[in-house]
Order: sequence, then structure tokens, then C-alpha cells
Amino acid sequence: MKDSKSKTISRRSFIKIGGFSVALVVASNPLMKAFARPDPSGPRRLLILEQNGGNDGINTVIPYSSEGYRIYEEIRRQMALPYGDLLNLENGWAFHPSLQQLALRFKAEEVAVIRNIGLKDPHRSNLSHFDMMEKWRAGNPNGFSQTFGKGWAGRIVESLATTSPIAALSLSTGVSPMLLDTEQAASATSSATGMLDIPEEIHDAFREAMRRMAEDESGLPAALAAARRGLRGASNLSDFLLNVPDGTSEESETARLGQYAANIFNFNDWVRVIHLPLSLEHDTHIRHLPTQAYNLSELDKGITAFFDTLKPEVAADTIVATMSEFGRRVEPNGEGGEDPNQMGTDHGTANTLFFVGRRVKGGLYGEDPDLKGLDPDGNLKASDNFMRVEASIAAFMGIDPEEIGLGSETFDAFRPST
Amino acid sequence: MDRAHAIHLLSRTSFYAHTDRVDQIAAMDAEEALTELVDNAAAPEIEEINFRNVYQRSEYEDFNDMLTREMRRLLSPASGLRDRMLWFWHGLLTSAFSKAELPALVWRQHRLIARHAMGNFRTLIEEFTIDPAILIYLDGNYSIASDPNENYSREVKELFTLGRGHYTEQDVKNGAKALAGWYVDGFPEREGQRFDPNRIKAEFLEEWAFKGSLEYLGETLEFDGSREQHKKIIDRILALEPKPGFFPSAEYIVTKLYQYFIHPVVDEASVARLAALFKAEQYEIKPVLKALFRNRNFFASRHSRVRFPLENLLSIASSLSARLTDFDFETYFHETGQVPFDPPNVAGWPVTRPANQRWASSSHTLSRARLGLVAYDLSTRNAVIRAISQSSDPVLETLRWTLLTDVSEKTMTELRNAANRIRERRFRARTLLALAIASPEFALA
Repeated sequence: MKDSKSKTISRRSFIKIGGFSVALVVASNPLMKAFARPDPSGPRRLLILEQNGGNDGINTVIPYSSEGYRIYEEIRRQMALPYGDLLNLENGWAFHPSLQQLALRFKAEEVAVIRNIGLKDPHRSNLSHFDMMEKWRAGNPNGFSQTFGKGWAGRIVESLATTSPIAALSLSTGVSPMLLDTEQAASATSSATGMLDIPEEIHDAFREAMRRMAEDESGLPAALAAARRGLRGASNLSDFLLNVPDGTSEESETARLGQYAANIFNFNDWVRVIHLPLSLEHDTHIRHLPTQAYNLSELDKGITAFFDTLKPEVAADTIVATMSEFGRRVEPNGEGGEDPNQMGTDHGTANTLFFVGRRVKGGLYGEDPDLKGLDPDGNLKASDNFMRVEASIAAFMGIDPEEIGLGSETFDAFRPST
Repeated sequence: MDRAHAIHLLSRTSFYAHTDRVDQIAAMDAEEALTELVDNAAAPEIEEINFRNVYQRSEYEDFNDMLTREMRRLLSPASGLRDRMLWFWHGLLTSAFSKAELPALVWRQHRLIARHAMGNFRTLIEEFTIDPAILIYLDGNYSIASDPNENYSREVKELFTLGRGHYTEQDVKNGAKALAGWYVDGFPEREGQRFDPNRIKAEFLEEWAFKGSLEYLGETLEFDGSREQHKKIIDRILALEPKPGFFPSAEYIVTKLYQYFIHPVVDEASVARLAALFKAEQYEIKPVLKALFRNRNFFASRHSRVRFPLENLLSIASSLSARLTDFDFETYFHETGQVPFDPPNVAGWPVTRPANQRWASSSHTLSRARLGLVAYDLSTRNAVIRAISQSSDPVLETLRWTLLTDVSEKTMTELRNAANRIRERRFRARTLLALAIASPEFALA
């Protein structure tokens, strides 16, 4: 049984997104199955890599044409990456030198580069980490107040209508707001979190009591309902994660977590969405260049380790998507004087993101970021709303994005199952 | 005051959760309790530590020493509202050890916040603005007016004083200019060099500072390049009054206090009244605290918010008279994402409803259940284990020691089942304690 609160809300509530009236289907809707398209292939799965703090898209995918690079070099000054270090994509653009494996995947046409993503309406866009994170995670330009407290990934998970007790997992110290109030969402920091070392003499009785104390009831106050749901998730998780091996990489924490995520997907078909917030400092007001070089090499290792660990039959229907609440300011701030390694960059707007996997149609999507046509604060003007990224992912997962309040615009970035 | 009220008052205003303290409070009426709690509270006494050279061992060892010291302090019977307030401010006015790096600077900032934890908010935020740890954490360090770093200028408004919607991007840029000129002096010239962290201090260079006039939050402010000019910025923030009688800074702080002490979902009318009082009292904190505890929603809010990890650990350790060394508290803090002095990001540990519910996630529940199993392993000589073993109603006795009132029928049934199933008295007591701590109600304040 689901949270009592959702039962009191009408099944379809009409909300406004960007001037359009769209239907938001609230959780626990018995009609939800009808919206899930028949799934001809295996279950589709998604790994979300969150680059919290605001990764710099401008130094992630760099103009490589001589004119494009000239403009980039002029505006980024000492913070421009040397031309000779860039990884040429042979389409007028290049990757940051840290993204070596991802560049190989791009050549194999398994990487979609989604550019200039943010909020097109300058009155809705802003430079606050936490406000922009809320918008992204809610999947709505006005945040959670417009989605009955449900996150965009949670709406996808609920629409999948699976019977799995854990359909979504945050590999983090708590369930992400993008999965807020979702019955089948749990959190774990490693397989050790799944282990509750209950002394043998009380083991069975203790587990049984945990399970019973966690049973849902209608009409519970919100905090108690949340505590019971946490206990239900804890019970399900202990059984499950005890059997999933941890990642083994000693060289990179992100690679270790990527392996762990792959092991979870490989184990059985319970978990369909994994949210992994990268534990890296993306908010580079100072020391931008060395920090981002490290961050992107971790990202590269994480994605590589994930796909290297996935079983081929699972990889066939699994994608990775990166997210970040905003990009960085086009011009560097004055930090560090002329020392390129000390220079920093403040909060920005439009950003560059990736979809990776065998089901991805490789290439460039969205408009070229215009480094000359900036807004009055010196920021890029977004040409697509972030909901279009989330809507594309929903469509990949087999869910009609419009039915879950993400709008109808998608990027045609996925192939049919092979 | 009845026992349920005393439990609520104690669990919201103190980390120390021993049943004897409940009895002391229950013996008072509400006003006596408030006098004792608020009026008689002094600033927390945080001892000075002589960090001769932080690298005498490793900085992490020094950090863990500091953490242990603070946990011991919070677990002492003298711990009370003042310590609650100190950690309320730590959740809001953040500086993370992982970026500020030096334990000595983090500890110095801890002492600064402690001095003003129940004093005056204006003084607190003024001194905090030029504290070395925050200068490093939010990049005021080496910010120069001609091309300043925006980080602190934005977050002081968005997260520390006003909240979003009351300033423009131009205010962020202009504030950054006015706040420039500071750097943190006293670091060694090269790696490995010995130095004295006690002598590190914030310094101001007039030639890096802004001189002239700037538009800021709707007024023109004059700056002469003096080391006091950050106070003009704070003054203007606190004086901002977009509508007559509406002070966003007062509303912002009392909203956080309401969410922390009463309910994650605020009552707008209460917040407006509290904000008016905060402003009228010139940002003195004690009068607002008293009004909060007299608010009609205070006692009605039992079990309305999820306890955060620090509260769970301290509540278990103090109510069971357990030793800190019984718990692997460092691992616990890391796996729950609440490492004291090291918040995950500049938003600290927010007290909004979504942030609050996150503390009930499955991973937190497992961490709490694990603390319950620590209680299960307590020595049979432990006074609480003995009391529960010897009681004629071990379930009620367990609830008394764990300060659980009004548990749900489901939880009660499971405790009764366990009590009936187990014959051996001490084994029964230990099992009951572990189950009570794993129960959903224990997760709630």
C-alpha cells in the first residue's frame, strides 16, 4: 500500500509548465501501467551521475574549429585548455583531455553530447546551486511545489509499475530528492550498508519484528510514514545488498562505485534506476583547471568501470546520463591573478551533458553554445530546457514524458533495441 | 508539566536525553522550565586547544581528536540548549573541514560561534564573515575588489541571512567588491615547513579593498576601504525592508529556528510574529527562543520531524549511559553524511521538509538499527539493562529509558511479542533496547 497522502490527491492534476498545461500523473495511480509501453527488449536501466556544484561545460566540450577555438581562447584567457591537448571529435569539437575513454566511446557512436542545456526563460533561471538543483530534481522549472513533492526520477520509477521492492537506489547517504517520497526508492553507501550484523540468537525474531514495525498504514503523520518507509527499505535492502559484491577499484573511488552500480544491475532485475552523486568538488570558484581535470578523469574512469563490469546482455539496454545544476561563468573570476592553476570561475547557466551506452545514438545534440552572445551577467543563453533531457530519459525508459509532467520535447538520441 | 511534555521539551532542546533529566523537568511548571532552559543558559564553554603544529600527527588524527572532545562535551550532563544552538548554527553557517583543512581554524570558528550561539545574530554574522575558516571555505581569501570572487557574497545572502528572491545578480557582484581585501596569513611558505597554526589570522589589505560608492540592495553605500566595511554590508542586509514591517533577514532566521525546534512545515502567522519580535529585540536570540517554546504548536509537534544522525547517536549514548567508545561514531557519521564540522556542501544540514525526510532513508535506518545492536551488546552491569531486567513490565521500562512515549500499536505489539518470547531477563532487556532503537518512532523528534 502506498503513502496515504497520494490517495487524497486526484489521479490527474493539471499543472502549468512553461505556459503549457500538462497532466501530471500522481504516484500509486492504478492507471499507470497503461502508460508504460510494451517492452520488447530487456528491462531498461539508467545510471544517473550527478556532478553537483556545477561542472564547467565550456571546458568539457571545447570548440575545435580555428575560429571557434580563437573565440574560446580569447574569452577564457589563461583558463583556456591548450589546443594541442584537446581530444578531437572530428566534428569541429573536442573533449577535455581527461575524457580519453569517453572520446573512444564517442568514436564508437555511443555518446550523445547534449549542449546548451538550462532554462530558456531568463526569469526562471538563476545562479543558486540549491534552487537550480531543486528545479532539476523536481523536473519542473518551479520546483517541488508544482509536483506534489515528487521528483522526476521517482515519477519514472512509479510509472514503470514494477513489483520490485527496490526499483531505484541512491548510492549516497540518503535518497535523492529526485526520488523523494517514492515507495520503491532506497539508499545505500556500499554493500556494507546492507549488512546488519544481527547476533544469531535473535536474528530471525529481530528481522521479523523490523518487518512488522515497518508495515504501512493509511493516515499516518508524514514523519512517521517516512520512518516506516525507511524501515521497509532497510529490511528489503539488507536481504538484497548482502549478495551484491562491492566494487574493487583501488585507484579511483568513482570507478569503484561504477563497478558497484554495475554489480547491482547485473545481480537481478530489481533495480532500474541508480543515482550516484559524484563525491567531487565541482564548484570551482578557485583552482578550476587542476580540479576539473581530476573531476573529469574520475568521471571517465567511473563510466568506463561501469560499462566494463556490466554483463553484455544488461549493457544492451542500459544508459548513463550525467547531470549538473548549472555550468560555470564564461569569463574567469579574478582569483589567482595570472596563475592559471589558481584561477577560478563563478556560477553559470547553460551546460553540456552526456548520454552514454549502446542504445545511444552518438553525436551532438542541442545548439552550439554561443560564447559571444551572452546574457547581461556574462552567462550563456540556454537553448533547451533541462526538462527536455529528463523527458528524453523517460522516453528511453519506456514512459511517455508528457504523462509525468516532463513535457513532450525530447532529443531523438536513442536507438531501438538491437 | 507532565512527563510526555517534559520528554518533548528535553528532546528538542538538548542532546542529553537521560530519564533523570526528564524527571527534573517534569517537576517544574512550563515557565520555570523556560527560565531554567533559556535565561540561565550561558554560552557554551569550548576549551582552547593548543594546536602547536597541526602536522605533529596527521590533520585527520587531529580532526578526530577534536570530534571526540566535542562529542564528550555534548554527552555530559551539563549539555543543554546552548549546545543545541551551537549546532543549529553549524548546520546553517557552514565551513567544511575538508576545504578549510586546518583543525585549528575549524576549532577557532567553533569557539566563535559558541560565544554568540545564544547572543546576538548581528554580532555573530559580522564576526563570522571575516573568520579565517569561512574566508577559506567560501573563497574570500585573496579576493580583490577589482575582480572579486562572488562565492561568499552570494551565499551570505542566499543561505546565511536572506534566502532567495531578495537580491539581484548585481547585488551579488557589488557585495563581492565590498567584501574584498581579506586574506588568511600565517601559512608556511613551503610544504613540510613547521608553523604555528595558533598564529594564523585574517588580514586586510587596503589596496585590495573597494573604495567609492556602490548600489547595494536598493541603496547607495559609500566605502572608504576600511577593514570594518563588511559591517556596512551586514547592516544593509539586516535593514532590508522591501515592504513596511517585513524584514527578510529576520524571517529567514526565525523560519530556520521554527523548522529546527518546532516543525519542518512552518506556520506562517507564527513566523511573522517571531520575526517581528526578533527585529524588535535587535536580533537578540534568547527572546525568540522563549517565544518559540511558548508557541502553541510547540508541544503539539511531538514526532513531527525526523531526528538527524547526531541526535540519534547522542540520544542513545546519553540515555543508556553508554561510553562513547562503545560506538564507532566516526564510521557512523561518515555513512550517514553528517560529519560534525564537515557538512556535505554550503547548504549545511537543512531543516526543510524534504531535507528532513531524507534522514529517514533506508541507509540511515540501517545505521540506526546498528546503533541499536550496540545497545544490545552493552555490559550486563549497565544500569539500564539492570533496571529493565528487574522490572515487572520490561516493555514500559524500556520505553521509559529510551524516552519513547506514544509508540504506535504495531511497535508496541512487536515489543510485547519479544518480551513474551524471551525468558532470560537480561537477554530480554538487551533485545528490547535494540528493537526500541530500531523502531520507527525512535527515528522521530
